[in-house]
Amino acid sequence: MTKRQKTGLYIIAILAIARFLVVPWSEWLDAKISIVRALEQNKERFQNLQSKSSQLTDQQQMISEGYQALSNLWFTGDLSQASVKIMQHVERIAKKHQVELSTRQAGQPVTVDGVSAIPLSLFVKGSPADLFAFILTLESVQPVSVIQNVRMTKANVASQDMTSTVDLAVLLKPERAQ
Amino acid sequence: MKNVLKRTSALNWLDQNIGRSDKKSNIYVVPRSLYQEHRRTYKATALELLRLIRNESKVYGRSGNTVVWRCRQLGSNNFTVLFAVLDQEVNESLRKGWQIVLPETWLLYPLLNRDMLYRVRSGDDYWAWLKQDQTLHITTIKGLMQQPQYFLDAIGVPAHGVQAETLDFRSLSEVPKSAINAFDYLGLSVWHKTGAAKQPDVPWRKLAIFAGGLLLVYAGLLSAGLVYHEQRLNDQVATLQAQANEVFVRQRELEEQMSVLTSYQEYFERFPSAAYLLSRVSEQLQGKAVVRTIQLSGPQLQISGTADSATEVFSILSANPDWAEVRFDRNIQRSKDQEVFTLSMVHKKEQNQEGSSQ
Repeated sequence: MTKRQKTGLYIIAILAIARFLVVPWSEWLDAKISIVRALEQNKERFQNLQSKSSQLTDQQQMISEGYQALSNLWFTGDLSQASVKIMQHVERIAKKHQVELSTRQAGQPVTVDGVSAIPLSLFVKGSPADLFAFILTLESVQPVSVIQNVRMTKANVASQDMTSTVDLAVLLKPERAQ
Repeated sequence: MKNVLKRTSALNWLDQNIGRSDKKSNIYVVPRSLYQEHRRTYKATALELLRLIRNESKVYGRSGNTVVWRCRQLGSNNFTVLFAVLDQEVNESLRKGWQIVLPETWLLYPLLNRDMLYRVRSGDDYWAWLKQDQTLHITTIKGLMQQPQYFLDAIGVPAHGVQAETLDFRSLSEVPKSAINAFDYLGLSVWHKTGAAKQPDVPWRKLAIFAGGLLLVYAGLLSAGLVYHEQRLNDQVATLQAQANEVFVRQRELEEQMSVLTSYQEYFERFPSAAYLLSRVSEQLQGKAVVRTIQLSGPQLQISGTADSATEVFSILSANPDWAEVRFDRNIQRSKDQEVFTLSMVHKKEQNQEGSSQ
């Protein structure tokens, strides 16, 4: 075998090694590097998320306190018995403040703009101070009522009592928090 | 002095594998198989002859071969020059520096008688015939070596009565006196640059294997490192992802709670506390008016009643920061000594926030 033939064989061997070993290895290397870069980006993203988690902890305390305060406002009993229980609640308050509860009507639970409530319409009669105390208690004792409309009218000049129509909504636990 | 002269004329036969220390002088005899001989005849002056010889030597030596020559004058401005182009391997046997290189067959001229056939004993035997005109015929062709007649026929010499003599000039230890004249030293001198000037052989194969090995190790380490790094990142990302999932869940819960809070907050803002609004308006109109009707719808409040001065009631409410858009809904009417009025107003939101927070 001449020197030229040997050189030719060496070149062919080098080309074959490059084609069947070096090129596939290089492609494998590129793929691995892409995977590693993607993983590094994911790692950085998750690490950023973790640092955000500490901020979230601060927010969590504030939100939790607010939510806890809110949960002390709405009706917490069995929802199927809500109308009856709420009506009894209103009657107790009226009796406590010596307000005459002439007419009362409870509707079905509704959710408007994320707020769940049972609407109530009342017609009450009593002294202005008693009516005020009645409304104040409705707004402050759980389950809390939100007064939507109130119309208080003095029947006549001589009378000390006032009649009042009250439309209110008793807050329920929202559906999203069930 | 005699010893010195003897030493300088001693012969070294290049095919006898003599060591450097065994070399007797700077005169080397090149076996016939290690050179090619060319004869040229020139008609030129002596100066032109030197230029022609130089050019011819360049032509023969263009492949890197060493060229030696000798010149004989045939007549006025008529010369015959013998060139010997030495094989490359001759250089390996020469020492560094100045050498005299003498082709084997050129030694025959003073040794052979004219028009006689010689069988020369050398590495390979060959016929030699020196003509009267100093033309030397030799052959090593096996076919011609079988019979002297074949060789003589080939060179055009009658074979009748010719006897072959044997010449064993390998036993020759010194240059015959008439073999080299002073002018011949010019053509036979060779400045040999091997030895120290020769570049050391580079072990390319070993270097290539070493470099290939290094590359393989590098590729292996790189691949292993990459795989290890990828696995480590995978583990870290899996751990972080699990932690992130907890954060996501917590974040979703908080967002849900925040959404509920926001909804209720907006609801409370839309319907401020009736007890608070009634208490505020009651305080502000204490002793100023008698209210007959109060109607509250969210932040909007309408009051109907009597007062000594409805305008004063209006000014009190207008001046109070709790209320905005205070206006009379109907004309003020005078009844007996009282003024009957109907006012409406809106509770200010900024003030409302504090009051509505239950």
